[in-house]
Amino acid sequence: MIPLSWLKRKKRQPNDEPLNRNRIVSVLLVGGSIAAVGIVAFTSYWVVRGLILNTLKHNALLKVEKAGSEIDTWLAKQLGGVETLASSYEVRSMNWDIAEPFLQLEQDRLADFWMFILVNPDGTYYTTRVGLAKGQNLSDREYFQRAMKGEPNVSDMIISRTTGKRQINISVPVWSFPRANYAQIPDDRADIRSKSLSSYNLPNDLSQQPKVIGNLAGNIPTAHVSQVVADTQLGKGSYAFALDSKGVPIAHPNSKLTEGTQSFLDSANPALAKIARAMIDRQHSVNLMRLDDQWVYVAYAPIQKTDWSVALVIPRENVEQQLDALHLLAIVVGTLLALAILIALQQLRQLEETRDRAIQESRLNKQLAQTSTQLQDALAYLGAIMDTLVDGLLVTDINGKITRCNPALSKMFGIESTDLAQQDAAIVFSHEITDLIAQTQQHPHQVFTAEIALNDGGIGKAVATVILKTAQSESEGTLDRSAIGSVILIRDITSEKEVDQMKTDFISTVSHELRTPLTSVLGFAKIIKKKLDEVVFPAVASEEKKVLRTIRQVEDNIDIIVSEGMRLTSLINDVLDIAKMEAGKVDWKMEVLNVSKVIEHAIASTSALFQAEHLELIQQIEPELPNVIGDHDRIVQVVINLISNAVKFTDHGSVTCKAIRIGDHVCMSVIDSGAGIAADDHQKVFEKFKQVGDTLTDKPKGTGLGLPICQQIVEHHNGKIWVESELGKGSTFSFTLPIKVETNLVQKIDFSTLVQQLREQVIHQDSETNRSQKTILIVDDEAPIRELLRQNLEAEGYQILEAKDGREAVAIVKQQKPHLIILDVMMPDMTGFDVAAVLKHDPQTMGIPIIILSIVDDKERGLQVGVDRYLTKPINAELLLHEVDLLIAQGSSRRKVLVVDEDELATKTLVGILQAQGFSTSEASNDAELIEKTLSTQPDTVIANAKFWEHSTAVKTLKFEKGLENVFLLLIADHKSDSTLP
Amino acid sequence: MSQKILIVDDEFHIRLLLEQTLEELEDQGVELITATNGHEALEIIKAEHPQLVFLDVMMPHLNGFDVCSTVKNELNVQDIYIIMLTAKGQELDKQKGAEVGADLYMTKPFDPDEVLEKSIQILGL
Repeated sequence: MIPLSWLKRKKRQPNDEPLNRNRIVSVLLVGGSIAAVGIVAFTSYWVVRGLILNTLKHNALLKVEKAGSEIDTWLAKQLGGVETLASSYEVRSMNWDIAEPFLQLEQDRLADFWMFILVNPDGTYYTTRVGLAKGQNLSDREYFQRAMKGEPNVSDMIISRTTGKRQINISVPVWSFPRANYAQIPDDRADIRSKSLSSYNLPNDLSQQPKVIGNLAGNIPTAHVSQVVADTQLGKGSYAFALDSKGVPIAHPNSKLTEGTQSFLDSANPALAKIARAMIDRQHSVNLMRLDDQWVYVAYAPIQKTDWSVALVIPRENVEQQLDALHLLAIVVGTLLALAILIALQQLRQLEETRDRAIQESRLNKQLAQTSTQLQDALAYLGAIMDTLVDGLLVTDINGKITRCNPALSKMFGIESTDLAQQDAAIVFSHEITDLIAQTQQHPHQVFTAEIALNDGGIGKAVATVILKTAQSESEGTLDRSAIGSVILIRDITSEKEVDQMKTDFISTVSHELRTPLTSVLGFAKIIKKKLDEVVFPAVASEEKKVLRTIRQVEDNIDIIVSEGMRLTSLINDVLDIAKMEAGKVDWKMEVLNVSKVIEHAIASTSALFQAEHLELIQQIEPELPNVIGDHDRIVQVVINLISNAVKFTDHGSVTCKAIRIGDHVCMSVIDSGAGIAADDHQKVFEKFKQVGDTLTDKPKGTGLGLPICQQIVEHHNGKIWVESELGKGSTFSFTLPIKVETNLVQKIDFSTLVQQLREQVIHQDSETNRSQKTILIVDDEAPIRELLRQNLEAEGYQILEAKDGREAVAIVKQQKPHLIILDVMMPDMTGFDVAAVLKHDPQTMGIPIIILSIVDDKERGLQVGVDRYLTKPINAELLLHEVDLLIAQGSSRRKVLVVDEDELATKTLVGILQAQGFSTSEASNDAELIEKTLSTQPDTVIANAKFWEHSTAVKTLKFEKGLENVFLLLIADHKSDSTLP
Repeated sequence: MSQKILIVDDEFHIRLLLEQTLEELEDQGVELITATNGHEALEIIKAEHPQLVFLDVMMPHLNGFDVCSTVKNELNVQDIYIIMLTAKGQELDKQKGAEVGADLYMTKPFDPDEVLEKSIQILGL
């Protein structure tokens, strides 16, 4: 049902009370209207139906009445006829002889009658068919008795005693003289009456009343009645029948029932008996009843002239057929009504839905308004935060367009314009910022920092990172994080820088102020000791005990001063170390470290301790430990510190040095069998100036800064340091270092392999070099060094030139064109860097390889000016000769490299690395560029991506170009993962 | 010409210490000269041409780096070995020392024996 489901559906909003009440009211309204219309329609139908049915019943009654009246008319006519006969002289004579001829004639005239019967008062009778009925008597017949009482009547159905046939008799009394109200007869009629009376042989006495002297009955067949009854019909299947006062059928369409005088009252069919009873009771009505297994209407009409009754049986449908039109109408109206209700409900529902939708819409609108207000508030809040940030904020999209910045930023860079949005960051800001943006884009998962000069001369620290947007990837269901821009936060650190500088200055000053007196103390103590040993004590030739004891005491005392002075020195060094680390002033030289080599180094440095203390050192180093990244010297410092601590606190037994891999870390442990540390003190050992134990009684060993320094170093490497120990059971100091992530490492390895390839490639081409034809220029302001180098190189067969300063060197090079230059940096007038810069910028000399050999370790600067190798003093002769050989064999400075790759980023990365190493580079990203660049720059080496190589024809054809036969080609499979080189 | 060693330090004790450390070289004809500040040192270098200079960094008025730089780059004095003596143990100073042309860098407190040994080596004694 629609309304139900409709109501149910609405119940989904339980919190909506007024809506429900409205709905209930409207439902009641609609329901009531429907019920009223239904009731009215049904009542109208019922009334109309009743009216029609009554009319139909009335029709049936009329029909049956008509039949009754026809029979009545007929009977009246027959009664009149018989009465006329009975009034005749012949009949009144009651003499059969007189009456018979008359009756015979009348019988012929009146064709309806079968015969006439003349009955004597005693019941004996004569008939026109047989004459005197001998032995027969009719005195028991009702019609005779009624006639004898002066009552003309029509008999019930009787069986003739004469003929044995079913018949009815029209029975009238025979009066002694004609009945009349004689007293009222006018006198002028007296004569006629007298004449008449005399003719009847009656006395003329008018006071006499006529007497019944006999009975005349006309025997008549029921055919006419049957005809009338048969003619009485109302539709198909209907029939009429007539019963006499006893219920015996006079006329019935079923001929079997009109044999004999069986009364319907005695019928086995109770319905028939019921009908018969109603007829005998002379009912005049129409009844609905069940007869012979069907519903029928039965109309009754009694006959006036006799006690008979006529009934008409009509099948119900005959009557109610008339109602079909009404029913059809009712159905149509009902259907229309139902349809109208449906439509109305539908409309109502739609109306409700529209209203609901409107309510929901308004609610949504309200929510939307609320949300947008909240959003605006949030945005305003965020905006306010950004605008009031003390730090400068700069947000760009991936193309470097500014999308957001705050007033602090504008102030920092002195930008007047308030609206920077959509401007190119490269135009507005310095290259430092655009570089940062570019870096974040290239390495989306790293945070970059840079110090940037501010407008007011201050320094800002910029922290930049890419903005990653997390998006659900539909295809794989994984989370994709794509860069949508960069965000840079710039903090004015001018004052911090100043404070920092002050701190650095303070440390320097304190260090200086402490060291200067210490220098004196320690220095003089050592001199005193030396002088005592060498001069004073030998001069004291006394054998006196007191003198000898004093000498011994002075020796001991001076030793104490020296050792304490040294302890103080190391303390100052440690304090400086930790102060520098805390101030971030340490230059960490991160490189790939082999853990076992680090440990070996530390063990070598501490071997003297073990010998002195008679302790055993055990090594447990897991084979094939992965490399870590770290500052070699600092990590060695940590291990040395731990080992020397272990030795310090262990009187006997052993110290174990262990290194294992734990997950992503390498764990190094130093295990001793010493005194151990109570659990409460485990953390304290890493605190500055804390030494575990009673400071008053226990002799302090060391500065108390060793472990804090170790902790600083390890934590800088993103590692962890801790101690496991129990009193009396020794201690285990361990620290972890993260294993270098493979990708970064690979790049490093890749690169070094590549550079190695670049350097050595030529050897394969012309290894047979006549060294005697090669000249080497040695430039050094120190003659002994020149001499040393000359001797070494001449021993290898090279020709040697010398220059004692930069100017001389430049002059000689231009004149003599040596095959190689070995160059010192620290020289008067012109430094080695300047010399190199001059030579490398002159096309005539730029091809000559230069090796810098200096105490100054500034490799970066050397490579920048274009030198080929950078070696530091003290001179490692073997390495120097190797490099000299390499470069000489190479013939000329193989510095020009052309990098070819379709991936621009990869090209840039490689170019950056090569440039940092002093190579002069050019780039190409397609065939056309490759040919153009190769011909214009004449590179010594072409580095091509293997994939590019595969599909490039230009690379292959170039190989055969004139003048390019000796170009060396390097193929790289992939910059990132593979380091396979051809 | 006798060999000369110039000791430059504003601290009397340090001068004394170095003098005593190196005094045995005097037996081999080495002359020890001292200066208490940078200006004095420059004057002496110009006048005396010492072969070896022990130069303190932190001095009033003209510091050791300036002295060294002047000597190596402006005076065009050849064959002079300058050992910087400083309490500063920082990388930055070492680099600066190298930049101004210092030949060696020694951190205080230094070991007298090492000073003596180095001097003998440099002077070729």
